[in-house]
Amino acid sequence: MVARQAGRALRCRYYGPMHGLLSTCLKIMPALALAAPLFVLLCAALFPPGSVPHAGQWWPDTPSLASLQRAWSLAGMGPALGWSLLIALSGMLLSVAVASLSALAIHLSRPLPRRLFITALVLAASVPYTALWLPRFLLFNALGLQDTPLPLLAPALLGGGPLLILLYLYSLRHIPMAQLEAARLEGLGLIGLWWQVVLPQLRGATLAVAFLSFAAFWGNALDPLIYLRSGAVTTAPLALHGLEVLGQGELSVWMAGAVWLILPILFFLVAMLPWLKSQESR
Amino acid sequence: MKLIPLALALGLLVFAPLLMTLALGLFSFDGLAAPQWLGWAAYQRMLDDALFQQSLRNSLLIAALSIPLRLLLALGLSLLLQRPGRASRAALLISLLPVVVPTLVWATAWLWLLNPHFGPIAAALDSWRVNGASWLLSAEGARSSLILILGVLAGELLLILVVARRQIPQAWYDLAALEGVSRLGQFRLISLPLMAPIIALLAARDFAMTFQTSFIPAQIVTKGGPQFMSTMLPQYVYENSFEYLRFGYAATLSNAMLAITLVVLVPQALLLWRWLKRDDNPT
Repeated sequence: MVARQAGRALRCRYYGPMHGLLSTCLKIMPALALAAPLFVLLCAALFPPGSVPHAGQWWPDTPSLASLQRAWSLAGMGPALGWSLLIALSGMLLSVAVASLSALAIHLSRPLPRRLFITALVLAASVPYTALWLPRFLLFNALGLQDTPLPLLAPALLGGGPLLILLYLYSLRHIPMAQLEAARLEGLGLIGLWWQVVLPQLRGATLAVAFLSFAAFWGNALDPLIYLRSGAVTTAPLALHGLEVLGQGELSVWMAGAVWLILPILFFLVAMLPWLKSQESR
Repeated sequence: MKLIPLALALGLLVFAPLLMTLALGLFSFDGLAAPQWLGWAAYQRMLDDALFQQSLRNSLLIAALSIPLRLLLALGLSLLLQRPGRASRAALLISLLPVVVPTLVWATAWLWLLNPHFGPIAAALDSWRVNGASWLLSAEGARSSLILILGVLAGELLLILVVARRQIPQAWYDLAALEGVSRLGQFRLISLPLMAPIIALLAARDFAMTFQTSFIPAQIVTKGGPQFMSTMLPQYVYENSFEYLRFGYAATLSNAMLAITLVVLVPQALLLWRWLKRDDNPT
């Protein structure tokens, strides 16, 4: 910390005080430009329902929360967000457990099966989702799981996706093999090793996998379109998709519906800040 | 033994459905009557289908232009954010936002931005003496919009490239600076060669992802129009599967998509295999 402060002071003395400000602007401005559509979305949600902006107008004359309220009631956002939260949290927990355990099992195996499984995971990650839609749909239909949230949790049985297992596998390389072997000699099985030795040392990877899988389950719009057709269970993306029928006249309500879907992600992202800081200080 | 659950999951959720789709691609099947054998005629029908040709062209064009745009953005920003600090951390988090919000939300935001009547992009085009409203309703406008929507999703690549750049020892840059090598020279002689493998892998992975799943923005923003000029291949597969119930034909289209993806990904898998072998035998 002291070294960093000293470095900052030295840079400030060497380059002048404007350098720091300029450097910060140079870093932040392109990032803000990339995220600008989301900012426009937030502003659009503040237009009153039915209002028509004039050309190029991005901030409403009279900002109001009416569109957010209308989107909430029209789309049934309450139950939809509840279902989405339940599915995303269950999917996230299952994904973390499956991805980390699978990666550990691969890490502890002999070189040939390890290479085979890694190649299989890379190939699995390359298979177009469209090639899996139909057989999965027929399978879940035959099992009577249509119109239940269970088919939406299926990717969690693969750790949320092959890439997340590969991410854990990469992180496992930082744990010395001797440590794992010593723990096994102490009588720990795969589950004991995973719970007592591996998970405590892979907090960063676990947080990353948890976040990525949560975001994937939360934002999944295609599977609900395929599997949830009766309306008994509705997820938030499906509810948002339903607002499309409002058309161009009520575009601000549609935008407001989208804002409801961003809030949990923002919360999660802010919660990740301390972790990001700890990663940088390593 | 401990790998059996993973093998089962891979088999049941990926490879068995994939084999079924490969087989189904040779049949005509609507989910109601029994499948009818078509054989290679199914693929001939696909090659003669003007909508397949159009959607394939659109998908390839959009992937070919949006991926370099995304990579260039991510590479440029990663060089700006190479030094850790509060500003870099904030910039990384802000750039990650568009990638982590649901794609549906991202596409919805662009619906406002691209609105031909009041959207800021139409207004900007008008100020450059291009008729914004009509341009955005044209085939070129629709395709360019999709390229832009997908091309600026650079946050995830940026994160990976920042990590990769920070793993290069700072001492090498210090040494190059002592030798009088400029910043640009350092990038050309140190950063680029060392980051080239990861950039190549990311480009290949991004091609597969964009080619296969760039479905939602086209569905929400352009609806494939005008006149199917921005219909993407996965969108066409979805419509055939779940709207027209042409399951057999959808499988044929999926298989074509898989074949094209493999052409790009086989070199990637070979590269990974070589890397793993080198890792197992470090000598």
